[in-house]
Amino acid sequence: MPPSPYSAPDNLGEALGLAAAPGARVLAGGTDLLIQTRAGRLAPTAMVDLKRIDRAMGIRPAGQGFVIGAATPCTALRDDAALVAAWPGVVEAASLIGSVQVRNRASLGGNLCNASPAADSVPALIAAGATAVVAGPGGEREVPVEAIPAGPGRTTLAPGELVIELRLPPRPPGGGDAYLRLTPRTEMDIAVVGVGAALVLDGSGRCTAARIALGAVAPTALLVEAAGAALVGTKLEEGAIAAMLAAIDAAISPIDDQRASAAYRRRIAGVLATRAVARAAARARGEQA
Amino acid sequence: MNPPEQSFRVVGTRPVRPDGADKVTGRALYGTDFALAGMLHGAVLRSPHAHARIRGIDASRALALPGVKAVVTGADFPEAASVAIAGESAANLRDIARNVMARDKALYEGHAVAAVAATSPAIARAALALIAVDYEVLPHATSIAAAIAPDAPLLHDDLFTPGLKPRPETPSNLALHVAIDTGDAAAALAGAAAVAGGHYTTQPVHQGYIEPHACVAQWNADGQAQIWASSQGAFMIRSLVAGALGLKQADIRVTPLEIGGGFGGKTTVYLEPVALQLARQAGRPVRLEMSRSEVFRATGPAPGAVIDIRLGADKDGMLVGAEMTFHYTAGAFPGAAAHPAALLALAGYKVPNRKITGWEVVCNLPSSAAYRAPGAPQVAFAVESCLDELALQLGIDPIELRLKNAVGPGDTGPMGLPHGQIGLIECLEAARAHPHYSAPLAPGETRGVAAGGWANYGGPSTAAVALAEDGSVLVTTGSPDIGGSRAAMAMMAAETLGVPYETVRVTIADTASIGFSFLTGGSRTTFATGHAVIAAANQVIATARARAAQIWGVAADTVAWRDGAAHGTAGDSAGKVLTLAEIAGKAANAGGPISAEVGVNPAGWLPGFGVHICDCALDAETGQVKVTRYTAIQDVGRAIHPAYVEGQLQGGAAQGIGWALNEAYVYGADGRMENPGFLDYRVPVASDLPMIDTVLVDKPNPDHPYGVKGVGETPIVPPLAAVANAVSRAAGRRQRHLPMSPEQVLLGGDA
Amino acid sequence: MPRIQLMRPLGEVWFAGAEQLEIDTANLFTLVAALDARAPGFAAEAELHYAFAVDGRVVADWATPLTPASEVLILPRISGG
Repeated sequence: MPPSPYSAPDNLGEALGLAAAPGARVLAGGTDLLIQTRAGRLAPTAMVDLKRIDRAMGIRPAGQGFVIGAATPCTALRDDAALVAAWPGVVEAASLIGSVQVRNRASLGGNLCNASPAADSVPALIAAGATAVVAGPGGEREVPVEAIPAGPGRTTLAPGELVIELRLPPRPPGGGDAYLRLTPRTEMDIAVVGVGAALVLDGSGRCTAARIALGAVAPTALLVEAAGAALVGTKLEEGAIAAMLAAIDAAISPIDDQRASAAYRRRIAGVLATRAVARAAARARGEQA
Repeated sequence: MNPPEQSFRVVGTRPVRPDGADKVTGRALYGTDFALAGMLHGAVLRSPHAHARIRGIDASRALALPGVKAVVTGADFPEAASVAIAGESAANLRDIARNVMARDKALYEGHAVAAVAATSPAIARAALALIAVDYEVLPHATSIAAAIAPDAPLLHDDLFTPGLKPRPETPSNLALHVAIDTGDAAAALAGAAAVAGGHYTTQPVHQGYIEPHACVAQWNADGQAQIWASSQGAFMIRSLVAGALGLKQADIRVTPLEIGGGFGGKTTVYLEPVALQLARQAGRPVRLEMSRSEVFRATGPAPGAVIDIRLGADKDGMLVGAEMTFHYTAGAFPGAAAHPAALLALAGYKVPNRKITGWEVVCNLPSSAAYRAPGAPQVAFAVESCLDELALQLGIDPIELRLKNAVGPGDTGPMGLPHGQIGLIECLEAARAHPHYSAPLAPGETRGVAAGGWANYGGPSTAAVALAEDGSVLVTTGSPDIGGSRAAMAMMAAETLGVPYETVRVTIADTASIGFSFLTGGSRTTFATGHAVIAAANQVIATARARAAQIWGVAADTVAWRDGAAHGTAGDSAGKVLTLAEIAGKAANAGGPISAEVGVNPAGWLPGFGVHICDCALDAETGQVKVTRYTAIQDVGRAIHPAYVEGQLQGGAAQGIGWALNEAYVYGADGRMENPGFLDYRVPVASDLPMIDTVLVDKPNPDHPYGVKGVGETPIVPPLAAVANAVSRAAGRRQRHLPMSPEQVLLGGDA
Repeated sequence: MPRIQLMRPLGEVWFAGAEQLEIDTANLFTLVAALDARAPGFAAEAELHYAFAVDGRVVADWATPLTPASEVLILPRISGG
């Protein structure tokens, strides 16, 4: 690894100043950045560690919702009972990243800004309607999570900008979410396909809102609004699921690579979407934790 | 022939291994841990092309970089003689030398073309970027089909397929032809009541040892060399480095470091000759170590295979005939274990008519290396799958079918010799009786079973046993400890001498400090080096008895040895006892220190057979397979240390499950490996596997004092088919292509 | 005279296809020397790559004496990983 100046400022202002340098990279858990730098795929001129900044660490209530510091290790999400109860799909996605050891470092902010199309937590966050707080030289802005990735390894962040927090809304009454992915191995693997689903059911079991997002089937994690729309107003009957699957099939653009063929990804997207919706619905009905 | 029932004090117990504490606390020195003062850091420039002529190399800019102390290329190495080397993989000194550093052609992506030594790893890597290699890129072939096509690019224009008669007049990529033809297989198959068969494929797989290759080399002022390296044989390194560089063996002292896994993949050299040439040029010690990517791209995968097979049985399930043709990928240089593959393919069964044809194919992949039982798992996958099909066709229990056909002692073995005390039948019976085999399956689960065997080996070994002045015991061998052999050696010495295990310490010596031993491979070390340790311990006993006799003034043959002490039986000595410690304490005044060094080349090793049972659950919508229960049963002769023998069975099973389900070299159309890392080269992780239960079947080897049979290689032979048979039954479709990744199981055709 | 059997393809490679030879010889050292005289290069190859079985058992000691009734099988050696 070529030497990169490393700094760990304890306030956001200083971090923004350091991150503004050309070629600087923000470091949260480092589970992608350090690996890619060692492998020679990245050569940052500086690494700016966010972990000493209070806002970047920890999970805080915000009304009935949550603020999650961008550098908070994924392990901490699983330890937060209120978060687990409110957004089990987001937590299960974060709990699938890497391995136990990786999750003790890896963060939602890093997973988002690394901008891998296969990032596990991103479809779950998108389905949940999460937002990202972007800090930069010009101040802060809050954007939907799906607005951050721009393509494999690329984000919409302007030079000098970084994600400092992620925000999750309150779990709506009758709401439930889920994330499922397929990997050949149980751990230490990259999703062949990942699907996040969040939906709301009324007292009669009718779906009043639904968001479906997929990973590893497009250049970025993909919110398929038409898939959610296909479920709204239905009781998730076979026909509604078929319509959702048609919408997904129309929206995704998987590729062939050494991990899987496009044809397999397309097929698995449907299988996992069906299962994720069923799981989210079971949670919405209170049948499953 | 069975030896009398023996009772043991130490053999068969489970003491803590002597190297354990250092290994779990991180104190043990592995390949990348060793350092010398003033050491330089090396790096290897590797070909980005699968096949290219090297027209020229300009290293002047690299040499000019401050901190760079040496650059070597193929021109800095002597042209090694074409000399055959014992072993299954790249088996010619000239090939090994050319694999270590390309000369006129780069034969695979990752083939070393130059190396640098510098004052820091970063400078060394920066220097690599300054070396200009003028490549003429040539067409490449990374698959068997491409390499044997009529218009295939030729890797070696001097390769005329050996084993063919008449000798071919034109060179080709067919590196070896082997044939076995007994009886009339075609007629037998034509008359068979049931025939199973098909076209099977497996991909090259890596041994997957955690420790990368690493060494430190030093060229002494007097022209002698020292090498510290992690490998399966310090003497192997000495021999290959001496041969590749034209040095005298005694001028090279190789010190073995701890080895973090080898599995056959560390039975040859990659870095050591290069590090030594760099050290010679720089005048300073040099460390070379591989990254994981280099390990994948430049060290030995086990061969991939294409196998066409037909196996026939009569209506009672008796096998009548077999036809098999297989091609194995040798990689860049000849050597892919086709011979043992052909010999062992049907070794477990009595098949009167058999026609087996095997080919090794050179292609633009890393030169293949041994992997546990080299050559055997691929053909066993095909044979044991066919047996499962025959069992289904004939309505016979798959273990019963194997029992009907299994070989036992006295049956003719694959070499045409009668089998000794082998234990396949006992393993099959143990499998049938095991609770796993009769356990009800959960809905959606299926069960597969497969057997497999390996020849094992003996080979030369040296061991020394010396007594310290207080009677504690020092055992020295030249066999690197991969699987707990220090413990096994200490236990056999303690058993022989009659002393507690804790009083025996084992050293793995450098090549200047003990006589020659063949490498740790072929499941030979506990058997052959164990023979040497026992023989040396017996010599020490003989000396100790003679000393006791002197002290008592009686004839040596009246002194008995038991429980670690000399016991007088004659005249005044009757009832007298001198312990080993007492004799050691008097040694200086009784003729000098007591020690013995013994070299042996024992015959009488026996093949190992095993039977594995695998339960799996298949997700029919995704093709994903989960192994839910697994039992490995093996005839181990007698386990010196049962826990480490069980570990061998578990490790082999885990690696075989990986081979079956997810491991494969993936190459792009550009001839470059696309998954040279553990993220995308998917060895199983702990959570992928259930507890692997083991059953050690004890059928002692009468030709070893303690009944030892080799155990380390056999357990990789059955798993491929054990898993595939379970998945085939779940999928309702015969699985003939590895790996059985989720996509392969769901969408894969049966080409 | 000891009967020498050659496992395929050794007969084809060295002895013009003969699979069986009869050679009057004292032990495996003298046998290998005799075979090397017939097929130069055989000894070097045998030392590295061939195994010898006498009367049905592989032997590692080439000093093993041969009697007129001995059956010797020459076969490829398998070591392993």
